[in-house]
Amino acid sequence: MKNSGDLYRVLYVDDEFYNLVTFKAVFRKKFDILTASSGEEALPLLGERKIDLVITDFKMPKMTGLELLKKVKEKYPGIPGIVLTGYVDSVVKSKKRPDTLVQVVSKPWEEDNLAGVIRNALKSAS
Amino acid sequence: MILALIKFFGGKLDKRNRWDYVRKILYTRFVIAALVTCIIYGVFYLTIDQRHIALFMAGLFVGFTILFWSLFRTRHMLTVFRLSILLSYIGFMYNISITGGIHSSTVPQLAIVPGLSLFYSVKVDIYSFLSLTVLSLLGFIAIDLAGIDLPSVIANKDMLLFDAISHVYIYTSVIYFIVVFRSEVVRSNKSLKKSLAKQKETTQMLIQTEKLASIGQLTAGIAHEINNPVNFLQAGAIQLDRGVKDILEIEKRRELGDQNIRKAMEVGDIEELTEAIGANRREMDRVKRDMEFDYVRKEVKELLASIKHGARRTSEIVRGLSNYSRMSDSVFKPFDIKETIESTVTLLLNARKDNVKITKRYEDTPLVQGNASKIGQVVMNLITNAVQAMSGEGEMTIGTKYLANGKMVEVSVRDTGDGIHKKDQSAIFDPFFTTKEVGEGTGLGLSIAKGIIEEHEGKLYFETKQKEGTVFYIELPIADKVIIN
Repeated sequence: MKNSGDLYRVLYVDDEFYNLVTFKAVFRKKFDILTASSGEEALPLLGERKIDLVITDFKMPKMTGLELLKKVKEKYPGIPGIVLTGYVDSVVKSKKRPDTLVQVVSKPWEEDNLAGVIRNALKSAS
Repeated sequence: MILALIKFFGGKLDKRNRWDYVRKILYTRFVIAALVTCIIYGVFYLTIDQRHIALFMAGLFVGFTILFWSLFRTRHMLTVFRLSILLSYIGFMYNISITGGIHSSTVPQLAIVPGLSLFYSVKVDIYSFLSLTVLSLLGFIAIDLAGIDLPSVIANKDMLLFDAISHVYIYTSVIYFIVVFRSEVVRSNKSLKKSLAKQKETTQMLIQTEKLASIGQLTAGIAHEINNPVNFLQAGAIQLDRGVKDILEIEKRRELGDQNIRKAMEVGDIEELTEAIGANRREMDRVKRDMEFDYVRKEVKELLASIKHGARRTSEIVRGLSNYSRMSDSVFKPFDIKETIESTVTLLLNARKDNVKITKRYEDTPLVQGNASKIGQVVMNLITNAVQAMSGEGEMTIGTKYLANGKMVEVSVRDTGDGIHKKDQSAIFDPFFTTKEVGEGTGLGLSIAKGIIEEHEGKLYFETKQKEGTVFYIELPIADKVIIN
């Protein structure tokens, strides 16, 4: 594998398998992508390696994207978060948003737009 | 002065403008009736006192003229009626002033009527008319008992004039009463028909709204659902494009390397050939490493799978849609209830990622006789209700079973919500009954569902337990049973 030491590490969480596939395929050359299919799966990954950004789907069974980001903030307060969702309004207006949530992006996402959002989020954190 | 009088009487009286309907009938009939009464009365007086007949006729004429004029001016029958009361009242007052007492037969009536005429309602008019009729009868009886000789009373010519005018009142009242009563009846009939029609229209509109609401629900679900496959199709295709480009790049390098090898082979130099093969291999290894060839191979497979998945999902949605597009088809045919349930579930539940666990328990069932899309609408309604009952969290069990004795197929939708309150249970299938907030539901879903199931000669009922949940059962006849539609 190519040395990914100089790429930012992004954790993408989504309960749809094919979303994980396509996200990784699109962005793997730009960032070091880690994937998880639920909040429970994602949290231990944060402990294993340094993660620079968490992107998550909003509507997931058991733990929603916002709940996940809240938990991330508790343990790793410096990591920014992005939520992808079809329900942009309800997420933006939600009271459960942690302040580490940098942006809410609507689905279906577009590569250039999302890449820009990710870069901004990474810049603002560092 | 007369105008002012007319305005006074007619001013507040147009609550109900009977003129519209009454006009044609009233106009000719009133004129005819007035003329006829004039003639009859004239003939009557002719037999009593020929000398004063002219005066009496003049009185009638004046009275009727005033009334006709007011009728045509104001077009309110009620105005005329009121005016005639006034005229009678004047007559009555003059009577008393001249004779110093009560001699006219119209006196008892008139004492009460002006007071009553202060009220503006048809009921009062009718009551006043009835009362004056009774009182005039009493009056006549009283006169008779008192032994007053009518002709002598009539002989006073001044009184006669006003007496005549006041009699106009009676005739007007009779005509008024008949005409108005008739028009009232006709009008209430008309307005009843109108309100019935309006009610029907409103109900139709609400049913339509309910249908549209379910289509709206479907559309929202579909739109959301299609978003996902669109994403993988799009992103998948783009990435596949890149992955393939990488692979083609490798192929190009290999080709170049091959050319070098071929050249070396032509030259025949073994060393150069070995060198070229070695260089090619090293180059290929390097390129494959840089491009993460193994990974790309795996990724390409995955992307192709995601594209296939996206395409399949989309066609499922479209298939489900075409079921609902044939809503208006009311032909009954045999169909597979399981298919209908599956397409409804696909449309409704894939888009919702609530914490609703769906368990399906399908047993082997024969084909059912009916309209698949209408039954689909019923199933959709039950599933939506179930999800709402559980507030988006819980377990839903959908089952099908064949009931051999009744030759029916049973469909059950069970939820783990709070159950249906005892007080709501009897009303649950009533139209417009809902426990949801205003604007959240029309309350027609279950009543329409019941209508559809009854149309299919099936049964729709439920079992519920507080805090545990509810099951809704649909029973439908199998296709073997002959249904005459």
